[in-house]
Amino acid sequence: MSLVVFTMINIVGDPVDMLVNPESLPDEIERVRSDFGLDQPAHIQYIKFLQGALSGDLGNSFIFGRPALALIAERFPATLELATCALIIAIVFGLPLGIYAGLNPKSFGTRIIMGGSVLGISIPTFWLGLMMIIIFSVVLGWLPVSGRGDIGSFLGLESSAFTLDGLSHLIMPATNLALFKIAMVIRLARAGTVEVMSLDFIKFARARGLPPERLVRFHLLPNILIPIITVLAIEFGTLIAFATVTETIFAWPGLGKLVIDAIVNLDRPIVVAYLMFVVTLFLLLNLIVDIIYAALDPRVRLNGDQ
Amino acid sequence: MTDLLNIRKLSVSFKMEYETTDAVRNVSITLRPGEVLGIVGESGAGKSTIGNAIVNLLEPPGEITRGEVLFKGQDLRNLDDKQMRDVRGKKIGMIFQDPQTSLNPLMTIGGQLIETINKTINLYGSEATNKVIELLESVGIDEPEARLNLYPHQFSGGMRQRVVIALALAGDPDLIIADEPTTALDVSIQAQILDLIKKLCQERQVGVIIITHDIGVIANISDRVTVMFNGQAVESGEVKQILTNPKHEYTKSLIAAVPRGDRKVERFKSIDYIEGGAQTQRRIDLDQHWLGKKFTQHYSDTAISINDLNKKYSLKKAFLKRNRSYVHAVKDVSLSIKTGESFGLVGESGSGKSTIAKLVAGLVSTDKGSIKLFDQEVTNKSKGKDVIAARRNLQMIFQDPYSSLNARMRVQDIVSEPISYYKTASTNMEMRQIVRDLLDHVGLGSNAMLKYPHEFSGGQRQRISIARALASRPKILICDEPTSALDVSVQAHILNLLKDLQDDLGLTILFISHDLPVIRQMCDRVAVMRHGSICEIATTDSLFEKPQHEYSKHLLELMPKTDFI
Amino acid sequence: MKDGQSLIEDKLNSAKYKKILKANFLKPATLIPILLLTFIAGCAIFAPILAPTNPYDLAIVSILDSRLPPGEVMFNGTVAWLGTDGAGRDVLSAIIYGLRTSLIVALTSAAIALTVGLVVGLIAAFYGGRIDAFLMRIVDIQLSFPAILIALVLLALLGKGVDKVIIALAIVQWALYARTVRATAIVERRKEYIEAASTLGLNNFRIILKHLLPNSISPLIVLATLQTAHSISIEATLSFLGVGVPITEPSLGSLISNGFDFILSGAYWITFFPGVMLLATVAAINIFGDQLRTILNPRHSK
Repeated sequence: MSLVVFTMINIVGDPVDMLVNPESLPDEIERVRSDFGLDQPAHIQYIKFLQGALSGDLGNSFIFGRPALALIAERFPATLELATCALIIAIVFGLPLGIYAGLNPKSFGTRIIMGGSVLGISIPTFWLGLMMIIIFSVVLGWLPVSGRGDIGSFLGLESSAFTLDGLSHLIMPATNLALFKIAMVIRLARAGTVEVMSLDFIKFARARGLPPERLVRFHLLPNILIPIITVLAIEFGTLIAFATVTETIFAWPGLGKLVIDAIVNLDRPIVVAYLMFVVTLFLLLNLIVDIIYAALDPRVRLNGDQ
Repeated sequence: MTDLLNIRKLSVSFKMEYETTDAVRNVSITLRPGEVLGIVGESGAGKSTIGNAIVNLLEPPGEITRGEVLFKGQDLRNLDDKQMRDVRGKKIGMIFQDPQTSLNPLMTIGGQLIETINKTINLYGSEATNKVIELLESVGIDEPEARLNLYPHQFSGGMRQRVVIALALAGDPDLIIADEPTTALDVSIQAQILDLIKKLCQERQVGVIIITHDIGVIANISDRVTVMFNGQAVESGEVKQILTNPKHEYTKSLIAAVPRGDRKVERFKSIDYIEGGAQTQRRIDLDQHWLGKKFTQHYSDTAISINDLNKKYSLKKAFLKRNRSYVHAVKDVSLSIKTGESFGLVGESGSGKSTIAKLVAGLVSTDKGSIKLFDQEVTNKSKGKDVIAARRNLQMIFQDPYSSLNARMRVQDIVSEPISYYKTASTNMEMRQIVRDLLDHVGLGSNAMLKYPHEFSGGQRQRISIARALASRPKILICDEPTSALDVSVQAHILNLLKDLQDDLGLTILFISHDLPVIRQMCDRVAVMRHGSICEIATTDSLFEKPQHEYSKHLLELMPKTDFI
Repeated sequence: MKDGQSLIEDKLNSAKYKKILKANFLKPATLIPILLLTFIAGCAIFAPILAPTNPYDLAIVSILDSRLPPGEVMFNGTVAWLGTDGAGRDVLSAIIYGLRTSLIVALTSAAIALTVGLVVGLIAAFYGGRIDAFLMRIVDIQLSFPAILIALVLLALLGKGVDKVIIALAIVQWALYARTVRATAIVERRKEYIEAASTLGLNNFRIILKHLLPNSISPLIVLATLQTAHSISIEATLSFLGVGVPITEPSLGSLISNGFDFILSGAYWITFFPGVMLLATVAAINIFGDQLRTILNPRHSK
């Protein structure tokens, strides 16, 4: 994996061209080149890179001149905060709406919800972000255009969600990022509800005289939650990836903005470090999914014991 | 004594956008306390719809259009949702067909029982738990305290159905509606569950409605029976009277179609009522016809010879050998089938009988042993021309008529595929004529040619399957549970057809079934299988009259009694 | 035993099914997106005839026309109904030309990805065992990463350009097709008609082509529709981020990106109108795809 990333990154353009002034003298270019170790053959670069990577050093950023991993670690909390808020928004709005739509397939509300969800998956995130800025910041002037705002601390957690100013900065990007996921959760929840409600055990539970509230809470919900939670854990990774777009629009000082700038400027160590970071994150998420799955589903849990 | 349930002129319709289907028409039923009423009928008869209509659990768009459902004198149709919920579970309990799907997989069985008891008889805490334990004991579950916290998947099918029965009885109902309660279970468990239902209901003076397609079930358990056909109740009365002296034509043909376990009959008779009208079966003159040509060639006396056959399936894959686990599906099986013979393989699910069919047909590879078709070794190691030629002598009829035909091909393309692939017909014209003849021969009629499989019923699809098999001009036909997915009357038709084909073409048949009476009607010799091995091979008559092996005796004891006919 | 419900389904399967199919196509929910899509495709195909100006002909574009609000008259006398962008190009014309690029990118990449996915999925499902495990492992690894991320990295490596976006989107999408085909095909593979075909002695190629393929393709039609919408969206996003189609070429994404710089100065029309077009296209395809899914529902066509 690291080899693939490394070779592919190496094929693209010469970062030195980006770093130095086009009018610089050739010997100055050479000096920069050797400073970053770019004058050595590719395989030596790779070995050096691997050695570094194993000791937690993914090289220094060409632009910032600081360790890439440190930069990533510094920016990650902002992205994490954004993605977490978006996920929470998606679940809080998506789940009830989806279940409602699944339980009342013919009602007027369902039509509106499902129409909205089609719109939600169709609307390009970045464009919606721009429109939100135009409406809430430019025309109405309610919310700030960009940045992260003040950061508060609560129970040892630091987040901009704990100050009013931070919240006003957070709400627009988080909603923007969440919109697609809300639509997705609605669709998942509705499909799950329709499917589970048609199963025999629901019919049997009704035949036992259980009231609708109990059916939904104890029989429907656990059964649809397992697949939804598993999907959402994986989708959390997508949120972090999509944050690149949202962060670019709202100038949110997170990972996404860092990496987009790095891609445009061919800041190789940052891109490599970001990819390694993301790969690790996804592996971790997959592991978490397996754990959640095993914890929630007795069929998996108990088989594992044997 | 007053009636427990009195249904008067009930009609149920399913209103669709484009069409309305009357699933139940003008059906009247009465039931006294402690009585067991059977409702019998084939698929589409509307029998399950009645059960669902009583407790108002019809799937939309189904609704009751007319009639009364009087339960202890009160019309259930007048109740609102909330009142209806108080009836369900508390007054009327339900048991559904498939115990695999009737229970919430994510809730312990104790949890499901307790929530039902909370709701129906308002017992909470330790009182509820005690009641649950008592219930589980009464349905024959040992050590109920230890099992309260188990999930449904930790129980076997039969045990789960016992839990379902416990749930149905949890609210001390006066009426139990059991919809095909034993259909999804193995024969040996079917009898136990039926006995249990009967016993519990007598003890508690609970009225029971048993909805089933199986006349054997009715004969075993019910006091009275209503026969349903096409949404109508065609006949009702005491079980004994209906079974021995049916009045209505439909009842007569339904009973005649039930395969007997006690003696062999040549053909099933008077079963024309169901499929409607006379069959368009037009026989081929085999001496002249393409189909007959190959059958005049001489073949050796032994059609299939199996020696020391073994097959394992891996259950758990693992890198280390000792961590892998296998199921030994076929264990040291040897048998030989004479040319022109009809040989039966019988056993419960998981006995390995279908695996043998697949091994012989070359659909799965053998681990060890040999299979010879007309003295030609055909196991996987040899893949020469001779093997392919020998395999072409063998065709298969499958269990599920809905999945054994390619839904995207027209019937004529399905049937003609082996002819065109092997170019056994000289022209396209000739090929089409052959297909037409084959379809006529299996009683389907040649106007089926341009249609797609979904336009046909299950029985008709099996006929298409048979025509497709014949198009290869096989000498050997493997029938793997060919009628177990079909209604009993349709089954009788297909079995008759298979018998005729065997007589006409001298086919060798390997007939696989779990159904002993069917085996008795179809086979000359039988092998009884259990856990991948053969227990006993005998002629059909001697097996049914004097079984030697303990397991054969056991199976025969469980066989539904058909001496009522 | 099935009962009333199955009776209904059986009846649905009869000749009336065709009638229902027809009626479904005539419902507004299906008809409107179809009409809209026809209109959009028409715009894309006949762009040179329909567009008032050619916004990518540098000889016509004048910097004097930059950021004219909707309805103003441009330097050369044509009315800019939707205004002009920062470089003085007519937004309406740019949208019409941009649609063309978006649709070409989406359809070509979908076609490539579908073909590759189909072959991989069918092979995996038919042969099973190690081949299946190997192919699906690759698919799983790829699918555990968000499409946008892979595309971003690929384009960072490949550089800008329409052809490169097509390649990147094809690489991003093939795995999803492969998994979908495999999921359907593996169910079909276990059905008895495939066993019947092998008892007939047909060779594997014929079984895959004539039996497995036709029965595994219908979920793919729906997926291809929805994926086309998705890839239009991704292409626009990539172009917006500056790694997709270069700003000198017509694309809805690059047009919106161009307008991003002028948002705060109130020139909303440069981002607004291309976005509306984008939304309309993607939404129309999505609604159509949803309807298609309902119509092709296996419960009806069994």
